[in-house]
Amino acid sequence: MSAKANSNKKPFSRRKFLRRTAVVLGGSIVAGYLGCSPTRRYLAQTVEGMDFPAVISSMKPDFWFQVLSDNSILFKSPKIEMGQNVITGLAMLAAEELEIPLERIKVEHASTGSGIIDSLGTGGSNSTLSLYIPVREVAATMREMLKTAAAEQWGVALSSVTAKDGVLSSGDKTMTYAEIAASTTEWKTPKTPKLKPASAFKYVGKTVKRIDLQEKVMGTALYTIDHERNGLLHAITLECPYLNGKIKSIDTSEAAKMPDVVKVIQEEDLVAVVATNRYAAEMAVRKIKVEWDIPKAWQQKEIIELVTVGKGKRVNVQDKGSARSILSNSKAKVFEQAYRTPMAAHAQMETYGTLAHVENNEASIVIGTQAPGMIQGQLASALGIKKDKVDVQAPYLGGGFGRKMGRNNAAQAARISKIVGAPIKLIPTREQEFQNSVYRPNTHHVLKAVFNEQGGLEAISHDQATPDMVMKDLGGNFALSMVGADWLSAGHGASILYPVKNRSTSIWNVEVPYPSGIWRSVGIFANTFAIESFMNELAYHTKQDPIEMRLKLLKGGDEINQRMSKVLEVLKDKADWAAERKPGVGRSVAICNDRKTIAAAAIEVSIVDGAIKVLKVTEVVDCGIAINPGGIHQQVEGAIMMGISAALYEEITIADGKISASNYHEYPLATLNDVPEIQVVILENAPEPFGIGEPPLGPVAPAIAGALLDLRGKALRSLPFRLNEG
Amino acid sequence: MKIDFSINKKPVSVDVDPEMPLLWVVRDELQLKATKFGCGRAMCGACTLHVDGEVYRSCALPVQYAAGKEVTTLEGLSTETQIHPIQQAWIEEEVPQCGYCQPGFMMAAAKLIQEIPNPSDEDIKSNISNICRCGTHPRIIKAIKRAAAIQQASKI
Amino acid sequence: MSTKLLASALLITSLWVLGSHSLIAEQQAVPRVVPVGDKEKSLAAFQSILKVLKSPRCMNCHPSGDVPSQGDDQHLHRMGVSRGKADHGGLVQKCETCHHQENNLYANVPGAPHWGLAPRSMGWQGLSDLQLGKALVDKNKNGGRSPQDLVKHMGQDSLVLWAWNPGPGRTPPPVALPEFRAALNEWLNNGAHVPQ
Repeated sequence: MSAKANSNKKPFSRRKFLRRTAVVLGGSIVAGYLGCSPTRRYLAQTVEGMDFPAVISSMKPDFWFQVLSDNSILFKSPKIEMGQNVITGLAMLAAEELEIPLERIKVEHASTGSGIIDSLGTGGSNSTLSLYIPVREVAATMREMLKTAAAEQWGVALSSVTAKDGVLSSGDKTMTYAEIAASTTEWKTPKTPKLKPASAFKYVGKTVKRIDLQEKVMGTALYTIDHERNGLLHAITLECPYLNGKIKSIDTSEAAKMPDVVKVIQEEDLVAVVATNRYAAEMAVRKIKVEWDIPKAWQQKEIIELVTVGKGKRVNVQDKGSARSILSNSKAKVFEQAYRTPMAAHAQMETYGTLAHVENNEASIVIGTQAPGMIQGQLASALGIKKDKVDVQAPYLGGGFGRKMGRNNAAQAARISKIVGAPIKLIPTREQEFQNSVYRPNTHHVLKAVFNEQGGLEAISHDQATPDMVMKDLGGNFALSMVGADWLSAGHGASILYPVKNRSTSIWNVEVPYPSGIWRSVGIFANTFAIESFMNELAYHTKQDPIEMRLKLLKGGDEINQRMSKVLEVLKDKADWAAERKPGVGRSVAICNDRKTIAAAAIEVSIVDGAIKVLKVTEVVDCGIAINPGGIHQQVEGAIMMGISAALYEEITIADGKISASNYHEYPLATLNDVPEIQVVILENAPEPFGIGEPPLGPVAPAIAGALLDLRGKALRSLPFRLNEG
Repeated sequence: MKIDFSINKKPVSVDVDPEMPLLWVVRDELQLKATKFGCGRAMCGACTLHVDGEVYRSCALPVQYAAGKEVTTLEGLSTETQIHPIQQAWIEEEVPQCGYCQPGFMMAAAKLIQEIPNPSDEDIKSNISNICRCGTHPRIIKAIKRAAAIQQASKI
Repeated sequence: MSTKLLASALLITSLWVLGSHSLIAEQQAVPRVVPVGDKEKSLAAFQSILKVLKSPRCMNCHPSGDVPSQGDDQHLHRMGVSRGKADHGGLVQKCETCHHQENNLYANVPGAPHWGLAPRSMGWQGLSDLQLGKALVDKNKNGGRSPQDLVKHMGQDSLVLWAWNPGPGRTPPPVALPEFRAALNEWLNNGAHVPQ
């Protein structure tokens, strides 16, 4: 299995490795491995010979691992922990090669000043996959460096030195990692060692409790808002609740008179109150009298109309056979349905705030972000200073879900700190978090299908209208216009996976007046809802069992299709599909492939007191190698709850130019009351670990839709579901 | 205004606006960071703590209401020698994901098992309205039941 | 203290006017001591009272079920709020978990002394005007109050008075407090009639 596991990853060349290996700047710091952020690694695989940035700094060593004096190892994670439990998985991988017990590995996020951060950020459920080999390579390299140093110090052959449980030994000589680290000044870099085969894994595949568990239960885990600085002041900015609104007139005199207010800032687009405490800052900012210039008072109806198939720029992302002509010339009945998903908020529990201290043209920033590298760049340009003068530290995130890749207030915080000459904390109010945010865009989908005389699916097409999610952030309008539509994220999952001979998919890029961004599971959410709801309707109208119909369709498909079939077979069994149907209960199924993770859910629903009640969810996931099964369970459960929430409750609307939800009372989420019976099953039908944070969200909403169709005979085709709509 | 009260069994005195929410007093004046700011409108429950044994959403509780009373935050739930059943169960069931809402949930849950020593799913669902975005709800229910069992066992 | 004095004064006045404080409620009829012809005055005053009772400020906490409403749109109270055994919430979350002695201007959570639900027997939601009027003077459905007690409750109780000082974003009843009090007196002094 391991040979295949590594087959599609190129090992680093010796030359590159040397360039990227830094060693030692004193005392207990041992080894590092530079320039191997997954982004660069990914690029390196595709762009040979590209030039890497200078990575060895004599002042700030960039290291992943440090041996600490208590013989534990500090792992500076290039990936951010936002609840998805990535740090535990990465530490498990490191422990395999470091030959040190997992409990002796401490993890913290790398900061821009003290480690390797991932310049693309943490998201897209790719962390474990992208680092599966690099983390182990670096760990193995470090282990070999420690062994080499010991061999030299002892004057023995390297082959006689073994590393186990943080102790090096040769014959009767032993030394801890910490001891060798403290007594070595010159390090030799070995060739990239051969990695342990999967069969020798000690931790991988076993459930390990989260590394951050204890501190998150005892209340000692620190988030941005928990950080302190001497002389810290609290700021609140004035934010316009209207889309693209600007200040017409403003009077801050009352705010300035409020108690404990230190300063009211009014500088270009920045209006903020700085006070000695948060309460005073918040109460004072409410005293600002402002009139807004609103370019257009957008209404919900207009937003929906903008996002409609047929409008905007079309990009064909899938064209197999001749689906379009078959569908338009068909004499047989063409099934056609349209689906909509609404705008949504991330509504993560921690609002996206910043602690900033700008002093002597250097910035020290604490921000619970998914993308510290991006923040560093933004701040450098906002402050007009060099990137290396901006240190960005990311503490734990109180939820990310894509929100903390987008619009942030770091530059505002830094400007305020510079103006008042003190460290400041700028934590948005919940109202600002809802109304001055970035949103999952609303989408529109049209699906068409026609059956042949044998009852097989002859042709199928999918058109998705969607605003962009990340293209503009990555490359601006130019990049978006070059690629036509955001097939990378918003259009992710739009293509028809079933090996129907004639299939075609188009993405229509539309412009919207609100900031659109990624939301857990990215395009998979909307596209799986539309495609899989449509599949369930096809099954319903042709009187086929929704699982059997899919299994039939998947026959003769590619490797992904085969894995999908296996997942469905297991689902059929685990969800007790053959059991007698319960009266008053509807059931259905949905499946998706999110970057090689297959997730399928079978869901049972009923109507209780006029409301939709999800009774039972069985979800089967095949994410390849399951590094930490317990962690996977947790992610799947979370995705099921978020899927139920999105399907039953969540919707952001726009009225009179404003985001209508200002706080949780206007944006209800699933609660304890919505917890169904949950069963999670993990399959490992691939030799690599794929993502798990997002994929299991995909099938939840369409499986609920299918179950409601099964129960009521009427299809609901837009989210959130409202029984009076169908 | 000077306001005296007790926090996690230690007497404290703060000199702040009596209207200042206890949340900000606890976090920024007393430097106890477990109690979280979530919504500022008494809706999400991230700021839940106890005053004289009753549950409060501290973002909506002016500090003057704590005068002369005993405030307990998550930091004061366990003693130095004895972990609280709720926290023990939270670890055993591995409840948190991002962790931000968990202190509030644990404070509500601690009160729940005190009032209802053997809670049913329905008791739990109808008595705790805190919000979690990571979807830890299924484990919260399991952990509360486990905590109740731990509490029962320790009483025997 | 002054509230109590005022209430006593009102009560004494009422007693003097009516002669007997329990007459109406017990008999549901026009008391003989009240001159005929004033019934219309009383009924007209009741219409003003009704406008207030039907305001979301009063209605929201007089649910017929176990869940109060909130907001001008009278949606069911969020956060899983319910009546509980003593009309002040459950065993964990009580009304007091969020609502205190006065409106909270920081969190915009409304507050007044003894914030809570009216007892289930005093549930008004879903009643027609006629039913509401009857329920109001029915001792089984009004907390055992005589018309005098009702007038005292509606004109003086600090939680009722909160309706005219509900805080930002909440509309007070459509009848101003002085007019409401006048209507209460008019209603009571003319026989405390409700539409039949």
